Amino acid sequence: MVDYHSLISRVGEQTFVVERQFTAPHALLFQVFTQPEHLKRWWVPQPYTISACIIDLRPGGIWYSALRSPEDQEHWARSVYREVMPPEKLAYTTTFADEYAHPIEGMPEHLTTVIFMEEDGKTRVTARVEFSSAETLKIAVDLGMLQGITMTWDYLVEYVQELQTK
Amino acid sequence: MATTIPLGEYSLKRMFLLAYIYDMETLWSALTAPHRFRIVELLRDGPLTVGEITERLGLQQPQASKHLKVLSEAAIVEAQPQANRRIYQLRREPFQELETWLQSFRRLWEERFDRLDDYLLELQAAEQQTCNQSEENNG
Repeated sequence: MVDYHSLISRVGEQTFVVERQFTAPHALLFQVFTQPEHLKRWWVPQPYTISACIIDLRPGGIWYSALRSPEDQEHWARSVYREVMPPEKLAYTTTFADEYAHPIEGMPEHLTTVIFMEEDGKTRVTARVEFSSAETLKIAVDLGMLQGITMTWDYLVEYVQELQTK
Repeated sequence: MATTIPLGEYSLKRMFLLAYIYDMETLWSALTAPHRFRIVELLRDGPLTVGEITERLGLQQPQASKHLKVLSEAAIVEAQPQANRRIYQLRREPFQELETWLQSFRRLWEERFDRLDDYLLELQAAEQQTCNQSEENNG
C-alpha cells in the first residue's frame, strides 16, 4: 500500500534548484546570461556548439538557440521570457523545437527562474527549474520509485514463500 | 522506450534527440489524460482487472479498454492473462526514464555553472589586462 502523505512530502524534489557563488558583480552575470556572444562560450557542453542564438530580451520576447551536435545535427530550444529585471532576475519558459523552431507539441514545458544576488563583490546565482503539469510529473516520478520498492517487496514475499516450501 | 542513451557528456543529446523526444511525448500524452492518470493511480496500489478498473472509475468497459490500450502502447502498463481475465499492472521502466530525464537537467545546470566559472575568470583576466595596459599608456 502506498502512503499518500509520503508522496506529497516528496513533491518538492522535482522542482530542482542549483546554486553557485561567482566572484563577479551581478551586472556582469546578467550579461553573460542574456547576450549571445557570451552564451556561446559557456551555455552548452563540448562537443556541442551554439550554431545560432537570437535573443529578444524583454518580457514576452523569444530566445531561440540552435545547438549543433558533433554529428552535425541541429536541435532547437525555444524560450519565452516571462520576467526580465536586470541585473537581478530572469525568468523564461522553454520548450523543445524542431529545425524550423516550431515547438514540439505535447512535450513538458519548463520554467527557469534565475536570481542574481550580489554581496561584497560576489554574486550568488540561483537557478530554479520547474516543469509544467508538475503535479502529474511529480506523482509519476514518485510512482516510478515506489513501484520499484513494491516490486522488491514482491520478490521478498515470493522468496520467503519459496524458502518455507522447502 | 525504444532508445536508451547513457547519461553523461551526451545529456543534451538525451534531451534533444528526436527519437527520444517522441518516446517521452508518447509517455507524456498517455499520462496527462485525466482518466488514464486515474488508472495509473489505481494501479499504484496493485494489479487490477479491466472489470475492477471500469467499476472504480465509473466508466463504460469499452472506454476503459481504450484507455488501457493507450497505456499499454506507451508501455506504461502491461497485461497478464490469468484464467480468462487480463490483469493490468504498472511497468516501472517508463517512470524510471522520466526520473533519469529530469536528473539530466539538474546535471546540465551543474556542469553549466562549472563552465561559467571558468569563463568569468577568463573574462575578468582579459579585462584586467586591458585595464593595466591603459594605465601604462596613461602613465
